[in-house]
Amino acid sequence: MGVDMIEMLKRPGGQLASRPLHFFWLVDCSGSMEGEKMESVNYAIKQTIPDMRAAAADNPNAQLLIRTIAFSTGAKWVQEEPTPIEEFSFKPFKAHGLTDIGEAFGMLAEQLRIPPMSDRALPPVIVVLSDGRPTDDYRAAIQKLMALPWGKKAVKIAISIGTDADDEMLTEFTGNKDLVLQANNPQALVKMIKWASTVAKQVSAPNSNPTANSLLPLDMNTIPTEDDIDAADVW
Amino acid sequence: MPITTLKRSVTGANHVRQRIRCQDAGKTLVFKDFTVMAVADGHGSARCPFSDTGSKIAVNVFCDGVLNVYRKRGNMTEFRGFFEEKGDKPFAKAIVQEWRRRVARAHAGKVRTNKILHSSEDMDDIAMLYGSTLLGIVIAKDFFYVFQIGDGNIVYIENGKLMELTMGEKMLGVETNSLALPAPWKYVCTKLYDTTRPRTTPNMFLLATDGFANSYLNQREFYLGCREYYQAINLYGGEKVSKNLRNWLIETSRMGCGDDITVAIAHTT
Repeated sequence: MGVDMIEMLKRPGGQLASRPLHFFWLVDCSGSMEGEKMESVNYAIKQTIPDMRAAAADNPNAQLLIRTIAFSTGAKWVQEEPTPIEEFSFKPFKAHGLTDIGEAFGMLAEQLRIPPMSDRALPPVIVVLSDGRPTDDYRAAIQKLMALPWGKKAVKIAISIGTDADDEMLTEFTGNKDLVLQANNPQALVKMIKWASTVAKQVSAPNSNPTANSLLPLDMNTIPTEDDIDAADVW
Repeated sequence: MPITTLKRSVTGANHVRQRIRCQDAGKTLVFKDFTVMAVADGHGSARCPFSDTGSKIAVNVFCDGVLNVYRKRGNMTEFRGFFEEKGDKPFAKAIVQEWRRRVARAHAGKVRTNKILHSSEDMDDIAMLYGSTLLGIVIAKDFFYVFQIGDGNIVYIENGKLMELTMGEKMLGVETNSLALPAPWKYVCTKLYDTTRPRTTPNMFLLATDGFANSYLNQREFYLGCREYYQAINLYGGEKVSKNLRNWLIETSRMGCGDDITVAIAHTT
């Protein structure tokens, strides 16, 4: 009986790589966040790390990279380099000062240009948390962000903390009021932050989206509701 | 010089993990006077649960469509003339309409055999269930014609020089144009290339679904990969490359973007 021997040849070259998925936390660190709100944010973002690591481990074909910006009087990178979630070490935020969110959007826009972003990346995920009204010119910064291809295509989520947050401004940022998540108590805030962190997993699948239907590759049905909020989930 | 083709589809690493079958399809046909190749990438998202069927229908429609044109025109001059006159929107419209007709038939079959219990009767909704891209090429002695709806790559290499034959609308992330969109022929990207001077050999045409290019670090590495496929064919011959292609593409998806990959190659050595 003849045996069909296959000569095993080495794969032709060209460096292969998983697709980067950039995830940005933009956190309001103004004075009004001081106390329970800031503590909840710090607690919840830290809590998301193991789940995000597990999600990243489940999909080695996407590299989840984390960055964080704190905005108050001015804005600054807390984690400036895109850091693989496996190496990400959370630095707690501290509250003081104003709400210069426009400056944070401006810093973000600089990082969403191509380059430094790659055109083969997965859609970036940007999560903004805020409890107040902007104290700088946020509108020009949002326009600058939206003028960028990745600014338009990014998955943008806002978490509106408490009753004084500027939901209109947050909707301008997300482009969709359903993605301005309401967090009126610490339990809800933690839930919303946890849900926002799961978006990375939803975005990391390589499935294509026909353009006319690709507003968001998100499962909106999983956004927590009031009924889902349980204090036991938090403390 | 005779032209030889090879083609392979592999299930992406991500779909293997999720136990989802390959959503891509590819087809190559070699005739005396011309060669036709097509690849298609079923979207694979939850909105498109039958996109594996949609991509198979797409490659068949393209190949059948080209063959029909040849039969109707009767000779190579008229055949080429068709693509010159009607190769852009009119041909794309005919391809899309036939794809939708065959999708409707396939869908009715699934409904009849109870594979689908509740179905919309709206054809736009049905088409979306089968959403796919489509890339095709016709290679003749004096011309080649390329056709693209959605993402993917069509590359030509001659004497080691690489050229992308279509530069479809570049979309970021996971977005693509699709046969399932309303009036997708508006987004078709076609081009007819005259090759009045004889093509020097060796040469290679490569069609690939987007999982191939997306698995490389960047465009430069993708082009390097294409060049090395060309060199491998020249060095080892198409048959040996064909036997190794499956393993190469599985490795490419595993170490790259995790998507399904289909590659179709026509070469003259």
